[in-house]
Amino acid sequence: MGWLRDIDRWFLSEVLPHAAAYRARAAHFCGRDEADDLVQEAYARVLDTQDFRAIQSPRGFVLTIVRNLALERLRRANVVRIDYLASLEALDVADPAPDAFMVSSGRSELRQLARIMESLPPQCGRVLHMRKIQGMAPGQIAEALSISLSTVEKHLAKGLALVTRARRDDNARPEVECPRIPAPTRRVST
Amino acid sequence: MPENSSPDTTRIDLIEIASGWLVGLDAGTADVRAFEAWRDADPRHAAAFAEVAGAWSDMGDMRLLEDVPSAPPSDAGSPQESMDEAADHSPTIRGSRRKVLRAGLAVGALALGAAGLTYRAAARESARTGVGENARVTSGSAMTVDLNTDSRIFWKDGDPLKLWLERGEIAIRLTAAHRLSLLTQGGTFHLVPGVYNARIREASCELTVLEGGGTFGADGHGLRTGETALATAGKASVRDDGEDLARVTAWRSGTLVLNGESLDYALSEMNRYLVDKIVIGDPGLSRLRVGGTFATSNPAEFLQALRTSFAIRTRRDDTGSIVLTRS
Repeated sequence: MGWLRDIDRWFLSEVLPHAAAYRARAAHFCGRDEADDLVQEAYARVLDTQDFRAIQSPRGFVLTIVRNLALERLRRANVVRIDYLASLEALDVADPAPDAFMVSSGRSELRQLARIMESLPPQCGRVLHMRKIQGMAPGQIAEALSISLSTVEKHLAKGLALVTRARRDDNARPEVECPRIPAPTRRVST
Repeated sequence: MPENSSPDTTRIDLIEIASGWLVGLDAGTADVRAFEAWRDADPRHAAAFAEVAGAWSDMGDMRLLEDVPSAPPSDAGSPQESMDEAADHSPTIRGSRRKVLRAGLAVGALALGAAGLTYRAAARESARTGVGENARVTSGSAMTVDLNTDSRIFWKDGDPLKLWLERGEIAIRLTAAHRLSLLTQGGTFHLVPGVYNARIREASCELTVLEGGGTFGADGHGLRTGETALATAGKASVRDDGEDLARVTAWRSGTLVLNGESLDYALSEMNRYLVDKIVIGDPGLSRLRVGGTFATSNPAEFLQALRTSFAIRTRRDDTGSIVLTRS
């Protein structure tokens, strides 16, 4: 059995690429501080769905969950003004894809990842680099650095956690610039 | 080796715990059953693990970047000859179970690799141009898209190909044996191989069929060569542009073709290409009619024509805009 179930693969390919949009929707309802928490809760609900294959638009589905969870929370918070709540309920979950929250993909995303890896603590970054970029097995890394395998694992786990969180933080930004494509020379005619 | 979390474990901790599990699985030191029990215990655990697995898998993809240094920042050990994720495994597993576990790890690594690929395939590619820029992007051999000034698209491989036009104007060339869904704020076009021009106009999208054909919307309104559909809120009105098609495609050779349109209209077209916009300083000028073919890359020629034909004066204001007034 692999590490990832079908639902995990589906989650990675269909749900997670739109993280920035969920984050923005959650922040819209609950503010930035609670947004992450709300999105994680939505992920948990999604991964608890039995018939995930029947979900036509995973992005829309998660956005709806985010909205519903936000409304639940707001109702629990007594301080919310009634008219605000009503306006939120009236808000249609129209989501003309793609919205302003683009899905960064391909090379630009990898470059972002490269930047994150560069900012890791040195030992942590070095071990992660050896494992993921150079493709060395954990045991080989331990040998090369004269440290124990469990220390290698600790560095790897720490690095992986830092990278995952940094990517989450990047999603909190509304938009990811993609590299500009060089423009061909314009032919001027009159 | 991670330990089971208590119910009040924060979500930040979950990322750490999930990372511990993944690294343990990768190194072959984790107890797979214990891991599965942990993951099954709470969907939040599963979510954290999936997120971590995505980061792990994508880091492996960084080998594809040419400019990522192939060695870590400091001198540390020999480089690894194998680039095959599935082929490497921890040498620390001992005894008769070793072979079985190796196989299991290889499957695990393959599964992660596959997830990485799926992730990339599902993510949309995107391209944009700034004001005054243009660009060409291709999606394999299936589709070529030219972007006019200030445009933004997303696309995704598949059958049909999907292309979102968010802003601006594009020319699409779709090669044989491919179909395309063009998604716009005005509605969705389903196109067969051919050549198309699509432009966002306020809340609508205008699609001109230069070659080929297709349908619009759920009711399958047909579109033929030479027709232009203006799609607004899921409804399309179709007109036949006939011989006027050359004007639609003039932008691809960097020109703007005017045929007696008002100066207002001419400026709105020309300003699409200019960072410093041209504005009318004298309301009486709005109704002047302008004709000719002008380079969009350089407004000087256009302004010169206005000066000589209509005795219009031009000056720059404090913001850099070019203001037109009567002499």
